[in-house]
Amino acid sequence: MGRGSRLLANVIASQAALHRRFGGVVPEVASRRHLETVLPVVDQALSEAGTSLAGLDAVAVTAGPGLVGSLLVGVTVARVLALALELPLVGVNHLEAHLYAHLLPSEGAQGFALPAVCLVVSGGHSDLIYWRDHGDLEVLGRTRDDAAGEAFDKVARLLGLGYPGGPALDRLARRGNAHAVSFPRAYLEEGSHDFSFSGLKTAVASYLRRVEREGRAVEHADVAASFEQACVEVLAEKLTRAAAQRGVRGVGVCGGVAANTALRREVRARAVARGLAAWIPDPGFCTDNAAMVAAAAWHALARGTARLDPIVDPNLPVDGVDSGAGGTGDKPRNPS
Amino acid sequence: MILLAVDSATAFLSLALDGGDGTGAEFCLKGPGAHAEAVVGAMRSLLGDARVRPSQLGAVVAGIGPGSFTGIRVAVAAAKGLAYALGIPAVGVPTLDAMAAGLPCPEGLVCPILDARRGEVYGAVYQNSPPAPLTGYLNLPLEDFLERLEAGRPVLFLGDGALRYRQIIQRRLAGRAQVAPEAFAYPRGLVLARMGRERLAAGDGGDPLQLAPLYLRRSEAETRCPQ
Ligand SMILES: [Zn+2]
Repeated sequence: MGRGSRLLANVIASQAALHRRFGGVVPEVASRRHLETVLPVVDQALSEAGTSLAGLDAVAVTAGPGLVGSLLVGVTVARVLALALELPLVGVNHLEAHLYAHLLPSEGAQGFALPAVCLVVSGGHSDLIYWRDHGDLEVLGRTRDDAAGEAFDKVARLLGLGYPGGPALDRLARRGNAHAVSFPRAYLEEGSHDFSFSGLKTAVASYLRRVEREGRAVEHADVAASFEQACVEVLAEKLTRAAAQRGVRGVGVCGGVAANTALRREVRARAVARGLAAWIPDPGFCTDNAAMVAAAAWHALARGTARLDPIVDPNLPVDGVDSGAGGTGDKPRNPS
Repeated sequence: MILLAVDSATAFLSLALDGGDGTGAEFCLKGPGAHAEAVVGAMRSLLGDARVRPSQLGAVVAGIGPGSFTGIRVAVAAAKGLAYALGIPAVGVPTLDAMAAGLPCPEGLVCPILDARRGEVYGAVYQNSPPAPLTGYLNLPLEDFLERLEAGRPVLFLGDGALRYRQIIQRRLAGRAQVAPEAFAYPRGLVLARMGRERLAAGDGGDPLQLAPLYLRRSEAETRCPQ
């Protein structure tokens, strides 16, 4: 990222294919691959930006939340780069970085302005955040069980779509009827900004079992579309309602699930109905990327609020409240 | 040429600066889980105390394991990142080699073994005069490993595996086995640095992008779910 937070290069080494056979991210496998790819990715980013290590003014890295083994690779490499090059090192919160995707150059997020109410939806998070100003965030609500992306992956598996399930489910749902099956909408108690998706996932599973027992044919595209509709309706409704309550000009959506077609459509429709702007970064900036990390660091440095010399914190809170993400182990997990 | 060496495969985080002219500095820390947090600060203070600027370093040496997966990644990540940033060579030295070389046993064999959990060890067997490995780097159940030592020579064991299984080892090798005390049971940074220097002189290593851990073992998920 260059002067004026101009994006010069954004290189991503996705591990989706690597983890497909495990049906989820395996922390040890992820850490090993990160160690192999981290320097080639840095190298490629420098060359795409037309610069070199000597041209850098600062280094930024995600300090958490996330999988501790993966975080350790990134933070250790970033720290020695900063040491060797005698540069400041800025630690960034992964969730906050997702929010900064709104400030990257994409058509869907043009005109983004603070304050805003934003939804961070991914395999690891479903957080509703009131973003008052740079460095001033308030988590209004979050999931009480599965993250939205986790529900997408689990339902995709039920429908035999493999991993990662989100994009496949999205494609399948486009051919289906979203009103074919009525799945529950979990609005929780009156006024709550929290989410819950485990009941919806269970409802899909029992619907599939019942239909199979009755010997009827399952229209997978209809199930996918109906599930998606139940999920995105709640997300979009709670997001736009919170924004209206806070009196902000618009809403934002980021994180891997923000690439979902139905969610983007539903948020835009409900935002229009409430007279709000809808800012949704282009899909490439919704899924995990380093451009958003650089943007978060750039703004923190510009304001003198950067967290320098970070250490890894798998549970790093975005607003002082523990998000409950991260951890270690060798079992498949969902990416954040 | 000034070398910086780092190993965090065992419970001891070890670093050293080797001036190549007889001068040097070492850092060692034992503390559970603190390696990743401490390693860069330790580099900074070693360099600072020795009044060496990072840009004066000529090469970086990493202990590549085997050992704790996270631990060997920390050392390799730190070494490769530092070497890449400075545009200098990086070279890996197996942690077991450095352990064996740090503790001579003139008449017998030296056998560093690390606890690999699940009743297994990482280990290798070395003769000391002249110094040479007699086996490859092994990941075996302890019993299978000890079976390879049935011949008559005395054996000096070291490492956390040796400390943990001291009684089994001594029973099995009746009278032939000695176990080094913990203070001598870790990979020393200056030994690692010397071995790295030798390897570089012999034309090994160099490209920081190629520096990789010696895991010896796949992840549990890969073992359960083969390709
Ligand atoms: Zn993410």
